[in-house]
Amino acid sequence: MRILFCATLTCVGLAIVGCNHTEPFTTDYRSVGPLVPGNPTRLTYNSGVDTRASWLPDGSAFLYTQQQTTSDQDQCLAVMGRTGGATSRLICTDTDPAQDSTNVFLAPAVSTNLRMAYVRTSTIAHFGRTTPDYGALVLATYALPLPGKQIVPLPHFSPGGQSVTFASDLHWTDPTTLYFLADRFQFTCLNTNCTIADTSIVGLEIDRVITTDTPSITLVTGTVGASALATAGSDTLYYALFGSGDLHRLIISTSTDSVVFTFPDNVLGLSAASGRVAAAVAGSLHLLILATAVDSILPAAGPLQVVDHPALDPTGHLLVADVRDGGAPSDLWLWSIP
Amino acid sequence: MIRACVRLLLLTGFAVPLVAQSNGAIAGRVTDDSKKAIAGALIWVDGGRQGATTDTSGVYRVRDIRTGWHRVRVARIGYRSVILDSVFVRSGETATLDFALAAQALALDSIVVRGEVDQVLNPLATADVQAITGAEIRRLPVTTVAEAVALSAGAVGESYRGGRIGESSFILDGLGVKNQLDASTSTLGIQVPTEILTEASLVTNAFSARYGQALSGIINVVTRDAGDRWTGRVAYEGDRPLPQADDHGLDRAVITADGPLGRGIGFVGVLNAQGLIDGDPVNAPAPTDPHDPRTAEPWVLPHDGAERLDVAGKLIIPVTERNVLRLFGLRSAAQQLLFDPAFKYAPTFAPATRTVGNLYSAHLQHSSAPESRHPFGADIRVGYFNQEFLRGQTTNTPSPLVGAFSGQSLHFLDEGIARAKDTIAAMGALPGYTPPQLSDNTPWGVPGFFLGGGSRGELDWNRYRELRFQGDFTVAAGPTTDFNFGGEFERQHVETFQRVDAYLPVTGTAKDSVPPPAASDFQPQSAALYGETQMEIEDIALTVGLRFDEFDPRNQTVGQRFGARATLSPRLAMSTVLHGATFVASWGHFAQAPDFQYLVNSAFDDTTRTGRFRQGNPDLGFETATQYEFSVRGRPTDQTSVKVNAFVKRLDGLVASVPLSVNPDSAIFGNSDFGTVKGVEIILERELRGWWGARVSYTLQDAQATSTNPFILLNQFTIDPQGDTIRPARVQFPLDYDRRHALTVVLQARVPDSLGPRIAGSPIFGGLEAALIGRYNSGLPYSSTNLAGDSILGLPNSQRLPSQAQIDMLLRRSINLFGWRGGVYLDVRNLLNTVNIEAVRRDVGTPNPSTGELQAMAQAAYNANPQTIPYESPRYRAWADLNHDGYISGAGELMPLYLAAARDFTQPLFQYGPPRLFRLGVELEF
Repeated sequence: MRILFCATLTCVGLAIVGCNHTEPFTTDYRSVGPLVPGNPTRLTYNSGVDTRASWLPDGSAFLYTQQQTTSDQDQCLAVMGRTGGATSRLICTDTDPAQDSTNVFLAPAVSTNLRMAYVRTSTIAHFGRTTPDYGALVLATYALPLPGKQIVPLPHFSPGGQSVTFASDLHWTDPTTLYFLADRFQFTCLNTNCTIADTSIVGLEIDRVITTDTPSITLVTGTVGASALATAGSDTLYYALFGSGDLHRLIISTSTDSVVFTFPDNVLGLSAASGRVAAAVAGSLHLLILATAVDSILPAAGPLQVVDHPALDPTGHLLVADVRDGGAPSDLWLWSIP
Repeated sequence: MIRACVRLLLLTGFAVPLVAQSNGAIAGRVTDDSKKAIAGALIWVDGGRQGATTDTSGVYRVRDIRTGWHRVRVARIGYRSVILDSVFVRSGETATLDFALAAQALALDSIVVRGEVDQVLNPLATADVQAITGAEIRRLPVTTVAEAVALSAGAVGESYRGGRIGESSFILDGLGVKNQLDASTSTLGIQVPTEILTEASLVTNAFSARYGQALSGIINVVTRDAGDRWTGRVAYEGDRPLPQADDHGLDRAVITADGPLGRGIGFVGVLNAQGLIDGDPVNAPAPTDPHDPRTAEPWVLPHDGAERLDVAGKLIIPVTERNVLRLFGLRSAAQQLLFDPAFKYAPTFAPATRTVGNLYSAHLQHSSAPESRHPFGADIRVGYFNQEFLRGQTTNTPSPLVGAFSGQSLHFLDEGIARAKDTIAAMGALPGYTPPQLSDNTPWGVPGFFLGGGSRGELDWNRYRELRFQGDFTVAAGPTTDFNFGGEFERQHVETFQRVDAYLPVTGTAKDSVPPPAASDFQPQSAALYGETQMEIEDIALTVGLRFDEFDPRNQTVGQRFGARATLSPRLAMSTVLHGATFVASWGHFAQAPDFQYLVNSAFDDTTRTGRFRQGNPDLGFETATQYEFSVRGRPTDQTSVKVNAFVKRLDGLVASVPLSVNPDSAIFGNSDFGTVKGVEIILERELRGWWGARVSYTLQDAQATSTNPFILLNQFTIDPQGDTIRPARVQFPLDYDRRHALTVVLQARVPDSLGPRIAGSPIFGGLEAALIGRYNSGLPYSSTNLAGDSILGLPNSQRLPSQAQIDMLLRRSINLFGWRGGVYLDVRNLLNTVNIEAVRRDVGTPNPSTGELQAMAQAAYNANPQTIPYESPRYRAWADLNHDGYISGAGELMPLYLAAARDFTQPLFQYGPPRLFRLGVELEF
């Protein structure tokens, strides 16, 4: 009897102290890692466009623009883990039940204090528009990206006096200073009657925004005609000019501008981290080690692939870039770099 | 009101009342050995605290004796006095005790005997009472008062004799307590721990005119007073040491203590704390799809945790020798996370509820001296009751202390707006609410059925407060006649707020717009007066009573002042003894004010955002019932009893939704429903003497009405081809709680201490107590509908659910160890793990949907979202990518997912009753 009594007391004690019930059904069903391992490896299979990756400051994940397959073909910001797998977050308009406009989020950049800037455009859908009806460079936070605060309307006249209709390559150099590539849309007719046309983005200049309560925009001197922009740390810009393979390095504090390397062709996309620069050069992906000035072309997965918008993670060992294979919309691929 | 008072007193001037319902009485005759009456004998109860003297015919009556065990002494000079040491007095009943005193010239010690009060043959008991004492509750596998009362014949859950929920009234120590705001759809808000009970009973026939606010029954609960020395009990019970399938995360702890505080003041206190990981365990079959997480762990539902805390305290203060003041306080807080199949994989957005109830009462009891020639008793009570209810999306996740018990309150999104009843602010989308999206974190991935990212956007709050004054007086018109009269006055305060689809603004323009926020704030008043008498004429006992009820909603709607409405409720009961059996015939008219929720507008929601709206009606009147009953009870043997009740009850003026136009969503509440309940109850009992006891009750019942639910449109009108409105014949259909057959068997046994082998002098089986409750219930009715669920096929409630059966068991073993007294017990509910079906899909009549319906659901969901799912999508599931190309595309790959999701979403859960549940308990007494 004493045993029974003690056993019961023990059970009670165990129940109170030892047991730790948890809620059932807490499984995460999302995919982890790439579908097919390899180097490079394909990260996205979306039938729409996946483009312009931008790493979080801690390198845990990156944002990119993901085109939706809904009828209005919105382009939203998705968040993907550093080694791929399922996206963990989708930043998108949620007040568009009628799907009567195409809302686009592009060129995200997150600062070390998790402020977030991006470009947002909106176009009335199904009317064959070639450029957005509305756009803005928006300031928000990574935790609460919507609705954000419009700091630069698009289109606008730049400090350099140019008509800017778009912005890209956003980069933070400190929690309040944002650099971006001011662009314009270029509408190109591909046949005589212009029944086939293409809208492309052409860089105009590099501007700097001080994101205080009253944002101020200034032109980065000497950058008119820039086609690509990257930053390294808080004091260094790398950029390239349209029609040139020269890689410029601009020390912000001293305004010292120098050409540190010359790529064999036009540079259309840049990224820099940990003494490395990745460049999209005429559809190929180059990796430049700045200390040794050694340039190598990273392998492509297929002969027809065209690479653009490279994004190095903060360690410089992972690289995500857009890859277009023939006429298909671009997807994101991941390179692991020793 | 005053005029009505006078009328009532005149009407009942001839009558004499019953004792207060928390009290009983002792009456009888004192004779000598030759059956000659002894006049002037003194009857003392509990040492003289109460008593009476016999008249010239030897008859006496001691009134206002508190329910429980008492010591009764009878003395007269020249006779040897007699003491009955254990007389149990039941609430509302008169215990008949006749004494025969032996003549004795010398003063000798009293004879102490055990009092045996025969409640069965007591001719003065005209009420149909089914009572259970606190000690019996402890011996049986029941935990709450509701479970104990549910053992009564005629009880179907909390519906009594076929009535709707909320047609009963709760009486605690003589004080009426009722959540008049939403009694028919909600709980009382307070739960009296059974550890503080002396007795709980259900009265279903012509209950005393002292009680109103009920049509079908009175639940009468009497709490115990403090003992002469400090005693207490600490108990823990749970299922957590059991294997996983039987572990529902139950932890319950109870602490009770009572004793003297000095100067005659007594104290009783109880604390009951309970946590349950799965607050609504179901015995639903496990699904067969291995991807469904319930397949591996079918026993516990997510986001279904519940906890409650009940604290009760009572002070018994003897003000003077004849006046006792009792102060009682009870606070109950209960909260539960609610499992919602749509949020199975995003449970944080599923709703939760929190209910807090408080009851504080003061009771001053006056009783006359035993020698008084004109005994007079008075009970003055003041009670304050409040209940606050919240339902919506939570903003915090309390950290559990033990299991599911945290001791912390759940908080709800925008509960401040609800409390402020701010309907202006609530016209916009409420802050913090986000629209629910089709969830991507499901095993199936596809966008269908399951929600996440936001709640349904419901916010429901109400608060009900009531201050009640009650005065009950007893005047003796003789040893066999009492006159009871009194009244009550209640001042209520009703506040409600309701908002649905809170993530959307209210536009109020389109037909499918979001219903506007509904709020109310009004202070109704209720009052009642009664008079009642019980007379004995030869072998016939006659109880006659009359009750006057009035309520005034005092609504604040401009241009709508409907004033008070009143009703008279006569009640009559007669009993007599014939050939060893007691016959009782009773008739009574009962009235209750409608739930105040029907006086205010009510907003509903449905999945298509089509707001449904019921217009409140501040002009509602009383709901009424008239019941006839004939009852026979007798004793075939000394240890057995039989009781047969037959009754017919007419319900009228029940609240129903009356169409305002041809628009099915446009309706107003009205007193339009009526019905009839007929039934027979048979109760056989063998008292627990020696080894065992048994109680068998069987109910045959037929309950019908025109509309069974206030929110269901009353189908009373039709439009003929010419457009004229036609009222068809008064056709009635089975009520929701029309249970035709109900059989309940209660067996109790106790192994004698001397029986069986012993180890170290302690018996192994001796002293073991066992109790078994078996139930068989025929199925409740339901209406068959079409696939869409919007049209009834056939007649309302023309289908029947399967019957249900269940066996519960309790084994208890007392233990004395190291000078401590205690015990261990095993309480098993649904011992055989019977799968009981409590609901079915109305379209197919089974818990599961048909294959065709599943296919249609899946096809509709696929048609809405046929998009290809790429690998990086959170919706991608590798096992469904049959060709491993990184895409789930086309009907070949997507439809199986949609079908599985539909099957998961519709899998029946709450259609099944609870599974086998264990409670392992240990208790220590001091």
